[in-house]
Amino acid sequence: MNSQTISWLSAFGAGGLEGEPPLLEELGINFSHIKTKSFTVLNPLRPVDRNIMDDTDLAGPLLFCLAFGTFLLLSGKQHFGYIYGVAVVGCSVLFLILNLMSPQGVDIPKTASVLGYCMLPLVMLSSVSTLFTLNGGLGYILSALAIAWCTYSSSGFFTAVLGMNDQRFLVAYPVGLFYGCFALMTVF
Amino acid sequence: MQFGRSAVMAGQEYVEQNLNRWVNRAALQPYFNVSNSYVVNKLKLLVFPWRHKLWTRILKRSETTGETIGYLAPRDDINAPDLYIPVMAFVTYVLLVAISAGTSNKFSPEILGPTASSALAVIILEFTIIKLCVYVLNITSDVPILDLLAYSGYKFVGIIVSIMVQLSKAPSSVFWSVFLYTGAATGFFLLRSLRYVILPEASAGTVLPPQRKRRIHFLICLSVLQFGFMWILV
Repeated sequence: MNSQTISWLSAFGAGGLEGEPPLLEELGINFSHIKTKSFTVLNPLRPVDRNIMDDTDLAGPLLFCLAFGTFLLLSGKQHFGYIYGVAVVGCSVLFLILNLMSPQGVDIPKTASVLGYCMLPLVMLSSVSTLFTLNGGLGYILSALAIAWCTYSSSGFFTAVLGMNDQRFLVAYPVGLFYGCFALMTVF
Repeated sequence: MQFGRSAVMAGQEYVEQNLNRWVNRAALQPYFNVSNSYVVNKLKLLVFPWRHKLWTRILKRSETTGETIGYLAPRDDINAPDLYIPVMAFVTYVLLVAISAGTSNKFSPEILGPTASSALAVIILEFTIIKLCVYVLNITSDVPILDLLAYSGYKFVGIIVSIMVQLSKAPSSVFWSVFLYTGAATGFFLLRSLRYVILPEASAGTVLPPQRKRRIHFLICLSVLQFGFMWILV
């Protein structure tokens, strides 16, 4: 970097330095990947491509968690701290359990990424909760459906990535409990 | 880009090192080596242990020397304790308590923490009592801590059944009968499972009759205590 040709005025402009990659690429946020993975989650009937989670980015999950928290805020519940707490504790526990159960392990960013992407149906549930309260018969059915959808897609991801085909239900149960915590916050 | 990636790798290694200090992965791994059929059969056994005949754990023999190198994994032996069912049952219990609070409109996310920690406290209390009695009764066989924690955690399955009955708004007599039945089942399960730990077979030294009686009494008291623990947690 030739510092003589860059004056202090460039700090105030949007020009940028020479040879600098665009901001989104530098941050690792790839919108088309986020869209692909979101559509994979939303379409549970399509078989999961094994390499889809190779670039583990946490931008999509972060976006979904923020959207979830915002929808909860819109329905009168300010639970951002609890969402963060449950997400961190749940991710760590699932990371431990998945590593202990499978012959090849996963690392924490990949676990967090898969869990975050598959939270999309719960985000939709929370958007529904802004319109009418879910604490009733229809609400229970909808939330059970959302949990089942989330669990199905994320256990599909995990068994595809970890290669544990006969233990799909054993993987699905803790993941279902994790999403159940979030659904609890939405419904009650 | 490169700097970011190397920073993440360094962070990952740091996390792994510190994690390995707290979590002894090699010791925990056998307890999670479960299969679908093991989980289903073990749950059936926890709810209905009366007809099961053989309760001994199968010893694993090495192929070359023929010596015993420990017990078989839960995947191959229904009598082996595992940690998957107790951990899942514990988390399910916390969630069910939260749901039952929610249906009576008393839910706030703050109740999750104290519920989990009080359940954990009951487990630790039971573990302390067992260890104390083992020391007092001079039982020389050393049971691994994780085995005892696994056996303590199995009572959550009975508690979950009772809470589900409670949630379905059945009359209180149904709830109490289900609670007593699951308490008896858990107590009997523990009685049979721990029998081979506390009263070792003839090869491990002689056990004098008075000692034997005391040990059997200890086992029976432990089974009855299960009722007490479960009542606290419901």
